[in-house]
Amino acid sequence: MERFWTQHYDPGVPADLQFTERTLVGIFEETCREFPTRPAVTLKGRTLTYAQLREQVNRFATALRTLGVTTDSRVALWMPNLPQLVIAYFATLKLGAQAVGTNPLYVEREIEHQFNDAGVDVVVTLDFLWWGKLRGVLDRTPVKHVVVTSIPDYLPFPLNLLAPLKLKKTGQYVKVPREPRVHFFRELLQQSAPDTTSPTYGWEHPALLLYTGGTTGVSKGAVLTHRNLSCNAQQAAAWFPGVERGHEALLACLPYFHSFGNTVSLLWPILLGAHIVLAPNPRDIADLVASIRKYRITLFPAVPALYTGIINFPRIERVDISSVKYCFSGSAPLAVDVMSRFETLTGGKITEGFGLTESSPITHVNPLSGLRKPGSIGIPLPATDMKIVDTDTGTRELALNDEGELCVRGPQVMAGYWNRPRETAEMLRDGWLHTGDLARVDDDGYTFICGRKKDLVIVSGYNVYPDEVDQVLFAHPAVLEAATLGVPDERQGEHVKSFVVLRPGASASAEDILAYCRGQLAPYKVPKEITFLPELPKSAMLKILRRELRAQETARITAPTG
Amino acid sequence: MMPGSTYRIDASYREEATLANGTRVLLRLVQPGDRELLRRGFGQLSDTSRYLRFFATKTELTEAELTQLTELDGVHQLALGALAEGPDGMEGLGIARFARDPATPAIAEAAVTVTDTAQGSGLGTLLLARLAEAARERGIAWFRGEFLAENERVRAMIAEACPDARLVARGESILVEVPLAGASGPAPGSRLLGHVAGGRLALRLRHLLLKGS
Repeated sequence: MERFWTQHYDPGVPADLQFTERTLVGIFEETCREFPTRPAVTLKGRTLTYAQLREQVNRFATALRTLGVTTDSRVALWMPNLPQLVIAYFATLKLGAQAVGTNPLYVEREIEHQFNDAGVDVVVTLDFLWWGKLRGVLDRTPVKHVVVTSIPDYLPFPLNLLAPLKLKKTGQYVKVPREPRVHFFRELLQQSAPDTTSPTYGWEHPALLLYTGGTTGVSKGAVLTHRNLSCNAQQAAAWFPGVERGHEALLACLPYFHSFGNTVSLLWPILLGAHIVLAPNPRDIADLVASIRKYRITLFPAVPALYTGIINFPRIERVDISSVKYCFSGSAPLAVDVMSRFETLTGGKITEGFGLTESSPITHVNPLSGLRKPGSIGIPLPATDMKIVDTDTGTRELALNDEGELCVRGPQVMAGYWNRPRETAEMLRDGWLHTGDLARVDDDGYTFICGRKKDLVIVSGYNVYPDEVDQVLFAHPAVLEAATLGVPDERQGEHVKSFVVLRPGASASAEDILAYCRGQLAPYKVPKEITFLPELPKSAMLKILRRELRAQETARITAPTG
Repeated sequence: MMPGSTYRIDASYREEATLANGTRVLLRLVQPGDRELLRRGFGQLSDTSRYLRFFATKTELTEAELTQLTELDGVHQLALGALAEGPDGMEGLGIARFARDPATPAIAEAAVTVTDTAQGSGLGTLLLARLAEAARERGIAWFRGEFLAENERVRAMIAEACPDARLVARGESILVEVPLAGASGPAPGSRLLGHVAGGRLALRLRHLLLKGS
């Protein structure tokens, strides 16, 4: 398909893009050299300038090298958005090792799988995650060293002294004893001289492994190269020609272990030399509002729930949040009235985008000032191609307005899945990423998502593969059969619902089963509802008919009440 | 053929074949005494193969399911198994089965399962061809099936065996209907294939039947 949609690009957005061949470390170094005294990262009032950040990155690189990290190592970064994460991220990349994004909500079963699958050598994590989760499974993983840090480590005085008292109560602070293979982040920084070497690898080198679910509940690592991520950050930058390098402040409330947060809340602001204000707990709307006001935030990438939270914040109209210029919304459709209200309050513009972990992630965005179409994911970014193919063969390109599978091609498309050639071959064909999303493209090139080829539930932007939930349910001794699906949810977009058949003679309550799930699944994957059935609907060939369950669920939701 | 039977593929049917990987297999109908064989064969399937076959995680076959899968009348429901000599005696490598649609007797739902170790050997195609012959003998004119859209192996098999098969996407799964070789006219009430020229498809399946024999 010709890139006819470029006619709808905003003025100043190039129809094509000449990329600067820079690795992520190259981008970071250039910004640090250009803006050494600019604030780089702020957490609760404590700021590191770009020069300070660079020095700590270089010290931590030395520490990681001492722990044996090379270009063939994986370093899992397992914590929320904290300065330690940014430091460890660029130190890992500096050595040419691959950073592995790990969700802090993961439970033992999930980290054990991920660390084994990725072949993680070193984990950089928080004290309570090490103590409460990783310690028990460490010997079942290839992890050789654990670097432990604490939330208060980068808090300003006296908050750093007071915070442990409060954090202990919520289980987010543990004084970790010394033991072999466990190292302390602060000590490593103090003991290590800055690494002054320059990376020797090229931009096709793998940078990041981000995990995404698979058919049978086994999540797989999308390998994103320096080129993939560098290009996607450059594409994002090109979409906002009004952004001024060295003059912006970005509120980072999207998690860095997620592809969306990684690109738009970390790499993009680093490329811009922006001040990154970290919000490790995005649910704290009051903190978000205060940060926008205090730091004169200009860039605010977020998810619909956060924009909704801000417009509904008590007396928000009395708070000066007019500094906000540009917002980037993803993970779920943004209601038109929420967008309109937020834009009125701030005077800024929200654009909605679309992407996948496998594409770094952004592929589509709506123009800021041009034609907007409600319900559309927008048009492809510069240097990005798309086509719609038939779902029967996956090879026949369809005409405009016909519904089929959305395929994208561009420099942001991943190199493949980590150690999974078969899955890679299915997803990447002749350079095209087969997204698994069913879509149509209208006469202007605007793309509309119509459904999904693969069974997938998206809860607040996080992918949940029903089969992973089913596998956990099956491991419960009372469960004979289970089928999980996504149910529309006003707040989260969708939530997880499971249908369960108990073994003959067995008994278990929904709460018993949910309690069991909580020990095995990150909270967003745990079913919100359990419905017991005498049997699951099946075809004559014993195939589970999820569509019948879905139809029953839709009928239940839409049935008139009273 | 059993005395009095009008079918070539009946309870007495036995056929030996050599797969592309050199494995010798015996084809015969599945019988009520095959429960354990079936249970063991299911145990040989990977999580992925089970998911693709049953559209869900499945850790075991229940007694009721084993009954449904082995106690077949041979006319309206039939299953054809492929056995091979294993270290512990005969083991099942694959099964193809159909069940006639009670509302539309000329149509049957069909499914093929091949253990992970035997996949890629041509066994699925062979079983499907023999199943089509058995179905045709019993007056079935059309096979209807459903597979997950992500099941590239089945998609490739259909593309090879029935390039003109009509496929209709249903979200995460794809429905397929194929007229069987020698079928007389379109299936009554067929939702998918009423207008598809059956001749070419029949030719392809006939080609398959010959290839597999």
